[in-house]
Amino acid sequence: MTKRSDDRDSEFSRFYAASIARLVGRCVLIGAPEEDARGIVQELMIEIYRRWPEIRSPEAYAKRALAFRTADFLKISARTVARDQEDLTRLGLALSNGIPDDIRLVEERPLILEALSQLPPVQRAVFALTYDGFAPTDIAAILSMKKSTVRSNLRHAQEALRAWWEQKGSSTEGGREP
Amino acid sequence: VTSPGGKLPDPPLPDGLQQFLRDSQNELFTEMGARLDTEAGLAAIIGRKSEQDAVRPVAGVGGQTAEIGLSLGRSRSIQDDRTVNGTAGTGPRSTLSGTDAPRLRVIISPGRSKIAGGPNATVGGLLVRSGAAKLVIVVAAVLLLAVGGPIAAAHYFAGRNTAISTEAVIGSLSEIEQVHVATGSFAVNVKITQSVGIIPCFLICDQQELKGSGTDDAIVNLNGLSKEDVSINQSTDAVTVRMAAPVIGPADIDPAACTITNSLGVINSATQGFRNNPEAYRPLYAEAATQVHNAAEHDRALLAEAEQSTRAMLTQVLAAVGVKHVTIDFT
Repeated sequence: MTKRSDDRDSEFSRFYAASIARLVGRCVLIGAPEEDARGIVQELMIEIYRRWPEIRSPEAYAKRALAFRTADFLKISARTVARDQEDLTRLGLALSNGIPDDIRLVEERPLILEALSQLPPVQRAVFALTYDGFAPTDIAAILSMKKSTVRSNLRHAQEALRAWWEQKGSSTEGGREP
Repeated sequence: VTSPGGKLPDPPLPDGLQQFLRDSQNELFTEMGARLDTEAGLAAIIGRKSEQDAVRPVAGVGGQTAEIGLSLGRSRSIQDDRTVNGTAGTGPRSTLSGTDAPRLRVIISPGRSKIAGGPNATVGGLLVRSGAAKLVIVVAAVLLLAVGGPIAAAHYFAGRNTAISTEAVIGSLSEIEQVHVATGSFAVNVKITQSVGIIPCFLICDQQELKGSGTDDAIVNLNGLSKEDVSINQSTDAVTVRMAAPVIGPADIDPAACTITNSLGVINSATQGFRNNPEAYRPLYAEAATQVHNAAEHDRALLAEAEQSTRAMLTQVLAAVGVKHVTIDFT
């Protein structure tokens, strides 16, 4: 669908207002600090605005592009922190060793962030992307890892979340469920 | 078990956990929306004169000069230049950096530097070294003392409602000439076979091999920024700076991290003078530097890291003159 240029600003404005919070939230769920997530999403929005006439489905485009941009950001952060590691090409290795502690500073609330903070960064990214509807093949491409690695990380993430949930439940027994 | 857009593999998550995740995710999105200044963010994109003036709001980032050292230090800090004993002049550069070396290096025009104390002055407890034509100093010291301090003080005394001036922005940026914003480390493996003098190689031949690693920096140059390169949105305290994208500088080969081996013929083995002459290895180092430089130029992650580092740095620097949002338009 080609959008007329005179409708561009109003269409984009509606899209921006409707999706900005959700996109920042997704970025945070994958593992970016909130302030960085704002910057990542804003830059994505600038790109979308520039390419508005040629983007057929802004929502789908934003969702996919955001996943890649967030993964790139995490890769860079991990690469920076884990500079002395020889193999920085694989996101999994880099992320496993490199996410700074202060990333979690903004993740006290809501509770979904508390839950995801139980997971190592790779498992967290894999789970968040899966939860957001990406297939293992897509996630493998986004995170530059094998599909089998995606599946194993997802399995571990779900096990960890289940354990966290059960622990949470047992700790509140007698009261309401978490 | 169906997620909002996909299917989670077996075994499924408990129903309660799924409901919790859904509710909590919605709560997260709501909180994000409450904390975002959607109107300002949108205005930064569509309310500008041209598409190039799009402003990237990074609310909360770099708002305090006290965060300079911490924020930049987390990702990278100062390159530690060291002279390699006994090998100066043998390689393309006489400096090296370890793999764990900090990575942000600022070069200030000597004439504009406010740092006193000579070539090896200590600033804030950190070593400052001087080259022939440039001064390499600690970025935190630069930002806090040379740039941030006086400008922040002036801004403070001028009051918070003072409009951001192009002169102030240019003034703070022009203090910095070059910044080494990111460093990449690359493996090298170079083999050179060369004849000795006019003697054909099948008679006498020197085969040299260098294995090791070298580093290369991505550099941004803030020298020459003009008023036309700066756009200011007074209503949102946002600034767009148009500047050249980071470029890869000359490579550094670390002799201490390299092994050189010779596969000498019988005749060559007796030419100790030739083997021990460091100049003989210059082509090897030159080729290694070329290899590292080429690898760095094709390292997209390094360039992306350089751009990210540049954004963070300018956000910190310009916060001192009241800029809340900085967009870098790399040309």
